[in-house]
Amino acid sequence: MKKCIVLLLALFLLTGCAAQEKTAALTASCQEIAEKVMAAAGFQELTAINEKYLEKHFLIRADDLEDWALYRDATRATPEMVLIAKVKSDADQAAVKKALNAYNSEQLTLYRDYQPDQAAKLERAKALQNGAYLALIVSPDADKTTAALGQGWRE
Amino acid sequence: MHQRHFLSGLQPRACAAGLIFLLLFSMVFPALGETQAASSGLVPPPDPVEHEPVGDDYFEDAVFLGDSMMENIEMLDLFPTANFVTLIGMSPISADKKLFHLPGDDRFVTAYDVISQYPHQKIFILLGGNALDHKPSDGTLQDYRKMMERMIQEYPDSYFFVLCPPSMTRTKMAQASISPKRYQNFREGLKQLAEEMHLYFIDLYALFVGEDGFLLTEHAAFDGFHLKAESSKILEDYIRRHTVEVE
Repeated sequence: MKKCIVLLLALFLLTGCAAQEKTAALTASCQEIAEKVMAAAGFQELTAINEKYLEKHFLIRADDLEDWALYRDATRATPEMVLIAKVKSDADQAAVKKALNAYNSEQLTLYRDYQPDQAAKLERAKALQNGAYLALIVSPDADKTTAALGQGWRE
Repeated sequence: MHQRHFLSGLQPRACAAGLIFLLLFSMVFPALGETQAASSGLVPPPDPVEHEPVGDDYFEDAVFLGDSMMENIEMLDLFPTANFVTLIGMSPISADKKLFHLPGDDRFVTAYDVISQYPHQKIFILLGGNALDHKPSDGTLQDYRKMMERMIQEYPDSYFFVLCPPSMTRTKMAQASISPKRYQNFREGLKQLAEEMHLYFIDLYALFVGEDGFLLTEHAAFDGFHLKAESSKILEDYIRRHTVEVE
């Protein structure tokens, strides 16, 4: 009986800690998640991009986002980029996700013509979602960055 | 028999009036049959005179049209008041074929449609780099001329600034199997075209090139073709110092 209580207590503490960790992770800023992702693979030099560019090129409204971080290879020699966004609860999350996938698909068409050797990076990219968070990552090593994103999201 | 000159019957005053009429006509229609930008600033094209850098307000009615190199300038927000029409891989021949999306509009539109949406008294164009890597300078210049004919037709009251693209590094040129001569020829041809069509010529080629005709490595991004961010800032300063006061 004592053993059972100890085991139950241990289980309670473990799940409690895990739940607490998960809650903490869900409040992580997009900047923090983006930094984790960028550190995970050998990206080209990425530059922080402003709201005007985000809205014009990705066709999403910054007003629909509670928080976001966008970095990309500003030379455009590669399509490498990291976009992490937290969508506002009253915004259309599906529409934002659709816009990100549409953007990636257009970039793929352009790069197949412009720099075909870079197209594989876009082929492996798609909008990923965890609750209110969305991510579009075009990476030189998708496995590493997806793992880092998972860690950032504490999945 | 002495032949009468066809003007001999005219009075000197009538001849003078005729000459003045012809002179005025040639000023109004400087090259009938050729396409020229109608607008000239207070400095005649093609070479803007260097001056103190202009501020952001100068670019409030400016559109920057171009390829990845121009998108780089947009991303770095070097001309925050200007509007940009950029698409990676764009070249003079594809300027009317590439399609754009505008925010809040599901339709695909051309670069010309997008330019029309913005104030466009001044249009800065940086194109050619994506053609020269696989097409000789003559062919690229022909495409450029056709593009400019359409531009002038679409925007007859705009002032055009053609930005001559920088060269490539030695390594990049070797990979593409081209010689620096191609970029040199393009530069000469583009300057001539600018003169002919009354466009302003901004020489970014000369700004970043070494004596051997290659892009200086200190300005080149890792691919030997695009510019480093610091060099894009040099480019920004150069453009701000080579504008013209418009009427």
